[in-house]
Amino acid sequence: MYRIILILPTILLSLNAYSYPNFIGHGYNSCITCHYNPYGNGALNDYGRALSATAISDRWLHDSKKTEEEIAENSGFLYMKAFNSWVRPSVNYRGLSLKRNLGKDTSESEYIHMQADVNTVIRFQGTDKYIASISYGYAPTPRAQKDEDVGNYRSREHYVGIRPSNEFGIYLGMMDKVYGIRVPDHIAFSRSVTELAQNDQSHGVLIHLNKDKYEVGINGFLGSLYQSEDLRQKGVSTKLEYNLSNISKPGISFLKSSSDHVENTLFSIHGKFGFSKGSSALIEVGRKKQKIIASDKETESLFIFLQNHILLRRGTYFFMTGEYFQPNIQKESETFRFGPGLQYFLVQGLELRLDLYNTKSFSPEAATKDSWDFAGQIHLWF
Amino acid sequence: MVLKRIIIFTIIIFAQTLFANVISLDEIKSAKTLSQMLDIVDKMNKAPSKIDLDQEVNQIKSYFKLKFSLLLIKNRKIKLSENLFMTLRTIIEKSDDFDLIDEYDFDELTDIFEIEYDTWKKEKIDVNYFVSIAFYTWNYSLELTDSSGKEASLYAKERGPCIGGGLRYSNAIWGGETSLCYAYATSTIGEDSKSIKFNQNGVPVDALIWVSNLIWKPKDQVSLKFGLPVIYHEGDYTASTGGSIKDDNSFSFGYQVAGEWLYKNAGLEMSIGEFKSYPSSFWSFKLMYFFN
Repeated sequence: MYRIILILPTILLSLNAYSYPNFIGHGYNSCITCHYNPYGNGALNDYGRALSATAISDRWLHDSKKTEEEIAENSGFLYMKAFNSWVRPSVNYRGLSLKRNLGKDTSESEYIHMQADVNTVIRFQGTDKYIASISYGYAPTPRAQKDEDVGNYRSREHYVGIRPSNEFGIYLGMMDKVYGIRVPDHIAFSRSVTELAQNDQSHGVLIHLNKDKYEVGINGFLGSLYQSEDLRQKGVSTKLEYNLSNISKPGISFLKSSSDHVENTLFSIHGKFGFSKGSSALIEVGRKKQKIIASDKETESLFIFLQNHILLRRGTYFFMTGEYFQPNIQKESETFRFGPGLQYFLVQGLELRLDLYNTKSFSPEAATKDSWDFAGQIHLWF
Repeated sequence: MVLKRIIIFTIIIFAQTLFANVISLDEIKSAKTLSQMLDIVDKMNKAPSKIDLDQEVNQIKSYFKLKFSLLLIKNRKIKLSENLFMTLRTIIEKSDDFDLIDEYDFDELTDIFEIEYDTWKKEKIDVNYFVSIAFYTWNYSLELTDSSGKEASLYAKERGPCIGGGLRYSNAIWGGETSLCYAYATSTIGEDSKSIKFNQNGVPVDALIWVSNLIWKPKDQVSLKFGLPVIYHEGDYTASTGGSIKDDNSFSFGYQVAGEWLYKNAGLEMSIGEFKSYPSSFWSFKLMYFFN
């Protein structure tokens, strides 16, 4: 059974247009600086677009005479200036070239269209105070359900947001749940084990408070209303983060939810830290307690996520990811995953990313061989 | 009588030493050549250490001390050192309170100082010792010979802490380091072929890991490292009755790439690499503490 649990994250391998918490290295320690959603993911706001065009992306394709202000000005939809103040359309695509089990007879390659979304943000009154965000698009069929008709076109996000001040906001609709560090690595145990991955959005309400010294979010959710009612995970999650400085932000998260079949309780501590200008370290340590209601069987698992980025030059990051997962803390079986990667923002709207994953599983009963996987990603957003 | 002469002579020598280094403003202003400036800076450095910077004349002298020092550094007549850096930095900081005419432009000198300081900092070589604790994991190959003489390969997965330390030479961009650590790991061993069934868990393994790294620092606090690790490995494996296990002790070497993130005196290193003849990769997470 534990092997299935270990393999599951790889089966579900997919990545999404999440926020980039490593940008704390640039001094951006809150997702709301760049995203409409205060915890990242989804559409970028005007500032986020300008920032991704300038501080984040290489300027190699731009004329050397072009100023940063000019680049920022043309960072809107399809590299245009914003054509009005109340609507912000965007499109988002992610494709993944995946090669599994490198060097083995069972090695296989595939290309997955992970995401192809159109998104529109309506800015009532022409500001970010009152917004509605709607996205709709393609999502691949999960490998485990490949023979089922799961519907490849869906909305992953639709919500209205009221933000009367910079410090306070309330959001209602379908969103990602608030929990831990929202990294773009969906195969990360901290995202897959916690069931906070690509297609785990939930309908609910989010209250967000962002003060100088701390940031707190409380998210009540009813599960995805697209799911059958007995499967919906209903509950509450919260995340509290403290700003030690603009490049140092530790935090804690808690989530409790249940459906007719399963009860989940999650707790984690995390830290986001900036080094020099642009480099960063992210760490999250968490536990998940899951109870199968029918059998009254409880399992407690442990995960650790560590990812460090080094800004090599503007637009280019080298990073290393190290992960640990113990599916049942009562047992000795555990999995380590480690790998270097390279991330390149050629220009605003084009990200290329290469990852190499080395997975080692330890169990008292067997010495299984390592697996090596390679992932090459292209991310387009306009 | 002799004693009196000795005392007078000593007082004269002391007075000469004390006042010989007190230099007049006119003398300072008359310095035109680098050697004259060098002489003046030298005298100023030897002058009584407590100078009242509330006095305008001393503020002007400080200006010239800074100016001449920078000129001498630029022309490679003197080298910037930690002490000289502190002295000049102090003058610059105190100059904010000076009320001198525009002729004595401290801002201009501050800019030059920062450029010289950056250059010096980049070239300056630091030598640091460090202690470290790491978590290592690697895979290992063994040969089992059973009681009937039949041979089979075994596959071991090993992991554990590694405690040690090292030495680093580096400037702001490049560097090198060497480190040694002792690992006490545990191993899980299984068969590496379908011909046998084998399982052992919790086997103690000792290892010494010596790594030499070339360091590149794209930024102050982060480094990329490329290194050559050498490992001595010793495992306490036991074969089933009548059999034996080969290759439990070995030397090996390999290569690694690592990233390091430094906060004050503490560092975190993540590395991945390969040892020759070991199946698959090794990797490590290392916490380091640097002594200044």
